[in-house]
Amino acid sequence: MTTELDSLARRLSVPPDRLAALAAYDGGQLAHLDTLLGTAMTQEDQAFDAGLEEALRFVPKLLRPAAKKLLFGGGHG
Amino acid sequence: MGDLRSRIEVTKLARELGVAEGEISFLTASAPEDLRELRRLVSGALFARNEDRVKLLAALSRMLPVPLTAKIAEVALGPALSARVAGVLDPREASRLAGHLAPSFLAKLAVSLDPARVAPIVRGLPDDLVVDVGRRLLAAGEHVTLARFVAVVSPDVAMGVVEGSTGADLLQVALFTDEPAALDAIARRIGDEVLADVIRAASAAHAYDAAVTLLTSLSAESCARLVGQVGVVEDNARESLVEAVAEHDVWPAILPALHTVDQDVLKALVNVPATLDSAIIDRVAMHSHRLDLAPVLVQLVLAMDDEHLDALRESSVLRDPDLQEWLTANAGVGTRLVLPVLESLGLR
Repeated sequence: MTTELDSLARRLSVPPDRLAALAAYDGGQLAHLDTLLGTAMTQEDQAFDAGLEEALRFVPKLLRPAAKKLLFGGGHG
Repeated sequence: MGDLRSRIEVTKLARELGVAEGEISFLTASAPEDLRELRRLVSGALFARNEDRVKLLAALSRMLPVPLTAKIAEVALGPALSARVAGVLDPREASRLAGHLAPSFLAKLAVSLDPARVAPIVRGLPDDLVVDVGRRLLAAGEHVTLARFVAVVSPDVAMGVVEGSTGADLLQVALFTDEPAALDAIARRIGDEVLADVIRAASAAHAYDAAVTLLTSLSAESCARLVGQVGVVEDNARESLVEAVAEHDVWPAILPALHTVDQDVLKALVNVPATLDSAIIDRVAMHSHRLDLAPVLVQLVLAMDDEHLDALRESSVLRDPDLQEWLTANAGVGTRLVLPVLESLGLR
């Protein structure tokens, strides 16, 4: 298994042998796929960061502390 | 056709990653099954990444009145995140929430839904709402999304969605469907005229590989009905279709269906220039033998015009004594009919 395939497997949280079918691709192609997946994950994380903050704005004031604690735990400012 | 199926899977994977197909077009070198597995892994990894937060949002929705949750979904979260949350909601909660969401929003949300996760939810929604959303997806050209839900909704709902759609739409939805059985359930319910539209659409777009992919995804019965419509297209379109079948060597999927096809349609299919090639004739004869379809082989020969019968004389497979013995014994017509025909063709 190549380093690039190992990296992709780590990102997908699967053992590298689950990606054996991709072993024929060169390192550049696998690295590109890994980058695209990483970008998709980052975008999803950012969307959740923003979405949770935004959702809180719509919660009635009375419920907001409980909602904040639920969504962000005790440490959220 | 392996290429086409791989391209279809690349399209689906690109959507999962939120990138243009061109970014990962190199993956078309992979087998479609491998790409489907990769898509499943990507989908699972993306979902798992924020699963905790998805569950928290679902918990928040239970604290709030349903109309307010609907507003948060539409305005704060948007369709993609709402689709993630829908994946962990109880079907009854989701159904109540869906009733407060605009169908136009549900259509956008459906694009990001994972049908495997939300199947019980979709099945619990009112049929007219699902049909409304489905038609909006169709109008938006979201064939990939619709195709993913074909196996999730009932055939009645699927029919409600595709009612009045074009052959081109149906062809696209059919191509992207993961579940051939669900696709076949729809094909069984749509009329011959609609099937003819599908053939016309494939012809108009020169999408013969797509037509062949569809034919090989259907049951023999539905395949026969679809093949039965090839009379609606021009000679050159039939020629291209037969060439595509030959190129991908998918005769094993097509030949059983030809048994019930009208003789006039069979003549129109058989007597195209491509089938003057003795190599194609040999492949058909070989597959017919392998699949024990002697009556079909006889039907095909009987449908041939003189020019094609001349080409038949060049077949090496039909000269094989074992094949001739099998054909004579299984043709479903008397030995006295088969042997003279083989002799008159100079094959014995």
